[in-house]
Amino acid sequence: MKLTAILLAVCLQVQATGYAQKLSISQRNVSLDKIFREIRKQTGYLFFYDVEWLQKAGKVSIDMKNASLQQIMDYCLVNQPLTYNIVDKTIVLSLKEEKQPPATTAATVFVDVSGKVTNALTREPIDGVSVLIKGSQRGTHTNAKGEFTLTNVEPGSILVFSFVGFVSREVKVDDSGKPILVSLQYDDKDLENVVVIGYGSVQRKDLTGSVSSVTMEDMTKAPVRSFDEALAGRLPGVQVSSAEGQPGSSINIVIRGNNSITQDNSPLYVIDGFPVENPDNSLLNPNDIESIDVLKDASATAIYGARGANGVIIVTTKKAKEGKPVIRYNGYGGVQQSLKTMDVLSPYEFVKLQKEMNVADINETYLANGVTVEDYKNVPAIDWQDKLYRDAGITDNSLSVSGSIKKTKTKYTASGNLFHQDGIIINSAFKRYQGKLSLDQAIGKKLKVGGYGMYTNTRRYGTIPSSLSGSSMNNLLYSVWGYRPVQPINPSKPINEDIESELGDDLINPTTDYRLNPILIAQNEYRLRNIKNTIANLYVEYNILKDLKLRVTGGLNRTHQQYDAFNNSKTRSGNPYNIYGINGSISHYRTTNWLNENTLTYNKKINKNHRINAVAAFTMQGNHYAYDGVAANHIPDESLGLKGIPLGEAQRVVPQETEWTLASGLTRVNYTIKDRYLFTASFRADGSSKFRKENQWSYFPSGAFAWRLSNEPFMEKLKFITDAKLRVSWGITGNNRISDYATYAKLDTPITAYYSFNNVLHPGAILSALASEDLKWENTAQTDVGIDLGLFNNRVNITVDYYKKNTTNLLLNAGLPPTTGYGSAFKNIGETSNEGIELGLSTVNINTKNFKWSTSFNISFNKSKVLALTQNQESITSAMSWDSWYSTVPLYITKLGQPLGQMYGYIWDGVYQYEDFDQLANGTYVLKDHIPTNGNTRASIRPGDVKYRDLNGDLVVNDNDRTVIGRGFPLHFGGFTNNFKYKNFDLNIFFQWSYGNDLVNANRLNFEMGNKVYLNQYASFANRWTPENTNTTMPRAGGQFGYVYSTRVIEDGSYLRLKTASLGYTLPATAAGKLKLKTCRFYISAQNLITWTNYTGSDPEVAIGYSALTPGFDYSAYPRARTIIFGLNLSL
Amino acid sequence: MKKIIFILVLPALLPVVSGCKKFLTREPISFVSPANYYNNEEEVSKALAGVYDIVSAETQWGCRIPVRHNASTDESFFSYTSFPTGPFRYNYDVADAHVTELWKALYAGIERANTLLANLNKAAMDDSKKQVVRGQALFLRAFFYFTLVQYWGDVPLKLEPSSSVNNVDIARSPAKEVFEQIVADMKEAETLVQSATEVGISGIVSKSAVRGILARVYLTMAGFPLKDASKFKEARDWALKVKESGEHVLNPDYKQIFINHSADIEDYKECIWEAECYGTNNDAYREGGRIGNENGVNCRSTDFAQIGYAYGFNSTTRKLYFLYGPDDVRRDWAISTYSMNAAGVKTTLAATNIYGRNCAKWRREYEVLSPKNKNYTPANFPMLRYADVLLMLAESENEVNGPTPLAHEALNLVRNRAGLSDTAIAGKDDFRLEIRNERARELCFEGLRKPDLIRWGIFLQAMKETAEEFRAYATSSQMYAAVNAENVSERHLLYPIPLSETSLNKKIVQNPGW
Repeated sequence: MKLTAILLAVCLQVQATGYAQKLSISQRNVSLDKIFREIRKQTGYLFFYDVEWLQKAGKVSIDMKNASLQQIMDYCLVNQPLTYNIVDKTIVLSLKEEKQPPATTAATVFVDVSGKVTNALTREPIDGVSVLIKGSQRGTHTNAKGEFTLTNVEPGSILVFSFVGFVSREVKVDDSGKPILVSLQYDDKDLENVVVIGYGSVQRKDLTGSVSSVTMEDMTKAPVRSFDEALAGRLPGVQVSSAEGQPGSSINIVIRGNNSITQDNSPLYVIDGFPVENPDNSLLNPNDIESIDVLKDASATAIYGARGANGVIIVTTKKAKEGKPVIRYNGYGGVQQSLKTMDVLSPYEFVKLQKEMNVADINETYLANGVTVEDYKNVPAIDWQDKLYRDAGITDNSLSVSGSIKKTKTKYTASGNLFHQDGIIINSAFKRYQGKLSLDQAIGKKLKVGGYGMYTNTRRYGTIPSSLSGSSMNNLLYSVWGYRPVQPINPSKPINEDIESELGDDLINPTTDYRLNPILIAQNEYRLRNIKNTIANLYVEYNILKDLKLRVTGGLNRTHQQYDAFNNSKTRSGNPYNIYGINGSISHYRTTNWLNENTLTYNKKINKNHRINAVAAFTMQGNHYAYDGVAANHIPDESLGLKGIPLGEAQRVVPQETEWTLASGLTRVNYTIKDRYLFTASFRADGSSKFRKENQWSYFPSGAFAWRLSNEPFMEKLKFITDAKLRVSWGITGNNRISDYATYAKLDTPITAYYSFNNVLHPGAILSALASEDLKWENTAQTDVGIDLGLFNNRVNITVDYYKKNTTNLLLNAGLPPTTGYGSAFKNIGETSNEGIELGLSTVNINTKNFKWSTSFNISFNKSKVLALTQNQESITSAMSWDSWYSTVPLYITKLGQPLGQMYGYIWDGVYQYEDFDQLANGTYVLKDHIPTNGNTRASIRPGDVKYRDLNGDLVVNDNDRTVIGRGFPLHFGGFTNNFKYKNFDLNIFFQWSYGNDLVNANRLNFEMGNKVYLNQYASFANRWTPENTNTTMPRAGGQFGYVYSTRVIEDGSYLRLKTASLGYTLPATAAGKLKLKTCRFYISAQNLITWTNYTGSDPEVAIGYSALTPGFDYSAYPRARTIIFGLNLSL
Repeated sequence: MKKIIFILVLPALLPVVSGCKKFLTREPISFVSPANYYNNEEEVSKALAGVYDIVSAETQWGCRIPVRHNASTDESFFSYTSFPTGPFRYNYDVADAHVTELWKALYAGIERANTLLANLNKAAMDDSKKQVVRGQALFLRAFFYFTLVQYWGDVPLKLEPSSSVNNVDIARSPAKEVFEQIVADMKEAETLVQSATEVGISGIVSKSAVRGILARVYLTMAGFPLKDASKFKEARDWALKVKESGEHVLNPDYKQIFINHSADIEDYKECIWEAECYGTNNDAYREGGRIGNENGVNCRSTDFAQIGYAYGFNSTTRKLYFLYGPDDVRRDWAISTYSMNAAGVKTTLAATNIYGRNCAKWRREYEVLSPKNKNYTPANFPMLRYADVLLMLAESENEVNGPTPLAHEALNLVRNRAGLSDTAIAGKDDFRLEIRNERARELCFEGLRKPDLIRWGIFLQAMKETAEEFRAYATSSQMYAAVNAENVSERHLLYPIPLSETSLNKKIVQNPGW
């Protein structure tokens, strides 16, 4: 894929016209005449000269690619007696005036200058650099070793070094006679200019759609496991949020808002041309990524038709490059620490709370034998968080060798990666082992074959503390925060002698409170997710005609995931209090995905004003998935581990197997007139096995127009505008994220539907899904208007896009009335819209020889709206299954005319104070008649109880007083990068933010509650209402009536984060050379360095149990880590 | 140029014109479609087991119908305070989970039965066996409709499988029509299923089960809301058929009925039809129920694997407790005389402590499977006992012919087993009252009381009296039970149609008061 891209780009460039035109000429020792003819062929420019002049000129060798006409002319005429002028498409040659050497005066001593030019990055010598004495026509070129010599140069003159693809440099000549060493930097702008789009690539200037590209140089400075972890804030319109801090946890990426209500909104990934719907991004080594381009508008995504509606992320990995073998090593090592631990009550506050709660046996435990609350003031706390969290190591080692063998026309790369990340919670880790080999072979002039193979093994260890199990007491952090911080001083009943090493807490009833020693659980729960992934991609490329190329690719992507779980007697589910006993399971998930693509690319410049580039392809893709495994409870001998499974009570595992196929035809035409008017039209047809009969095929058209204003003659006066382009696009894309057989009725024999007759079990066959045969694609129509501006010689670049998306025929997992006998079915029903603005801005603030400062900034706004749901339906409410008491309490609401995923509940009004009550003669308090209840019966409400707002004024707070209480998605988000270079130092500082989204801090429902005996609470609960402390809004212990959500636990989730800071030092070439290295850079990087937020939980970037309907939920989330590493980049 | 454009466009059109039909057809691999099922006896019997599955579901008779839906009447109250809402507190709305899941599961069962009935003909199997299956499916569907009509009144009547996700709106049929369908289906079923002796167990529907339930259906039709008194005669005839079959006798030992449930022993002579629960849920299946757990004697055991764990959700009212005479052996089995601590040690309750007495019909100590599960038991639940048939016979005979010897005989069979002597009640009204009380004594905690009170037309009055009873006798911490009973109003005669139905079914109309 990448190769097509490069070739296509070259073709496009050859045919460019106008001053931005690029040429490629490679000739050895030929006459100028021959070169001029070649130039004429490529550009259509005419030459005007006297034939005799050329006889005076010497022969020239030239090998330049992507050079401008001027560069080529300058190169050819260096040291020739000729000079030139370009007059309206004609190159007029003339003889140089024979300049007399300046009169030699006694004061002027001419010197001979020599030196060497190298590539600043690779330290390799550069052959053919033009070296000119500024203000004269004198000059030379460097030889193959990068060396040059000039005689008779006046000290103080300035030498100009220039070469295609590099930034020119000027060096002043002194009379010291020392050799002049010059290193040239790559011209980043040129490199970034190629954008990979679907089935091809274009230069950014020729782009008609909305495509954002990641600046890989910045991104690779973040020490992360996978690229998506570093993607947040990098690109406008791309919202990235990770669920929690666990190594390997899921990351949600949403491009330009959620289209689907119940279905997956994640983008389509195209990895080296291979479309994958839900890839495991941890399988890719971030170091191995060459580029990431994100297609956003319909013009760009429609080429992926039925799967393009959520946007497309194109990841291209590094491929072999021409040249001598280069060995590169990148490695780092460092440490991670939890960003924040939660403060819990001190021993004194803990005991005080137990006394206040009137715990039944407190006089036998904490306050036995005359011990008072005060006695706990000086007792040190057991810090469970400190025992659970650790400073965890992280190391990454990547080695690659790449180069080409000229003789056999072979390019090769071999690379390997070892990545090891310990989790900050004990006994959790992530490891990656990867090897890759890629080869490209040219056969003759027209044929090329190549491909790559990659094997990756990732291993993720450790329990997931945030798994929503239906009971909040099962989550690891419940036990961490809640476990008793102190032992009773002098108890009169037997209590754990060593609470730190015993599994259970003797003071609680293990059948109703599932608290267990968190350290033992974390140490003993064995969880391993072992993924083995093999990718093999092959291609054949054949130039049928000069302008027409055929490329055939075949690829295979196989993943085998084995999930092992073992629970011994010291774990949550295997302990003796649990019904399952010692238990274990091994599960296998196997996915095989294959792809065949056949692409024709046609490139033609029709005349000097018209260019056409067209692509057509026929592709086929298929996927096969299988699941099976074994599981057993009551394993008699835990020392056997998983080997003991056959000895236990076998649990029924129902194997699964599914497959899908997709056949597609697509075509796209780019048509350019005068380099000013750019047209793109694309069309794709997709046929999918997920749909049936007449709905199997669907068609996705798109069109775009771009106008490069800056190429218009009338713009020439506006010198400060270097580049200006206006873009408009429209198109239709689809979404097919439903199960493989959603159109089929389903009959199952689940373990819950057996029936016993006289205690003999019979399997029961039951209907589990109703056929939905008419299903078809979900369609998204998107309009995009954008402008790209380059100002002041492209030192300021601005891109602004406005988009509006309308998604219709939503694939909605729609509720069915229970009278059908079914719960839900997929239907094409419902409608959503998303509208937004994105802004990207990059500037070069300072650019001097020694100091460079550049900045880039992006911000995105999106507004989503639900326009229709299934029949009759006004809203969808969603509950979270984090706790059994809350399992049916709606927390989110998605209403017609409003955004997705809003939080829903009561408005919290603090607590009832004494003045809300009448005091009776017997001292009891009775709520005044005009004060609304909080849902509890009026007689039971006491001062200090939580108070909610009675919205309908009926003096009773109940379900009718629920309202929207929070926004699940941000108002805007973005990122801000600064790059500084001072001499050999480089500094990168990256900020990222999210603003205006709310979070549900469900942790506080358990830890600012005070209704469970001997359960420690957050330190914030010390400020609860008590008769002595009435000036507070925190309810009294046990004053939280009922199980409801309110604004009390809805918090502002906005944050600004100093996400990445990286400081590097590159050894000077001379020093590196002494070490026999081409480059050597040391750096120190930090991730998640500082976060500014008002969120009281451990981290505001959290989304437990995430879906478009349920964003921003926090309960027992794995804490996020701050990572600081020291690294080394070497090449030799 | 044109040629090249043609080459470029061709691949895009290729898939459309050429048939990739085969490539794009992917039938389900690891599950089957109903259309490809019901081919033979094995598949048909699996489908039938799927219909039965609803009967013992936790949302139905495996727990919630007896333990929660019928928990708060004049015979029992829901003695657990942590659930602030639910039918047992008469504090619920259209979105109530209990109400919703009852409705949902019954219609799921109806869909399963409809699909089986619609496909049964194509099965290659012995026709006589097919007819037996047909009879059971017809009966179960009718029984699900009977439950629906008891709790909701008019309900949508669906006799064919659901056909399309887009055609889901269905209106309610008048209760009378639903009853007519129930009766027609059950009568047909009665001719198809096997006799109780042939069946030989309680888990499979027999002729006796159909007849006994038909008696219950007709008694219900004779009472509120249809009040068709002519149906007493039909009820009497069907109940009498059960008696005259000679296949059933009462278990001489009242408590053994319930011990058998816990100990996985089936006695079809007394227990004509049972909802079968199986295993402990520690095994590979999830077929245990909550009988004896939610409605057992409160025991928050830390060693539940041995002792068993129970919540004690159901407790007696004073009314029930004092309905029993001192010689009645049933009282101290149906109602606990003791409390249990976490170690399973029993302590006798003070004689004055009435409201502290839990339902004790099903006791976990009699379970034979070990280790026990904290929450799930293998105990079956009696859907129809012979004692119930006898009391229905006595009740309908009395309504039709007065307290005849037949009515007395039926009543006395039940009384004698309880250690009581024959009655000599002469008046029809007195006899009616006696039957009503006898039903409470014999059948308490078996999920029959609320429908009984409603069909007798005395539900509101009975709940008012229950509230007064609690006001008079309950301690302050038990006073919530009075509040629960006081919550009862006219609208509680019927459940609301669940929100999930009304929000998605355009044709449905809500019950009055909801």
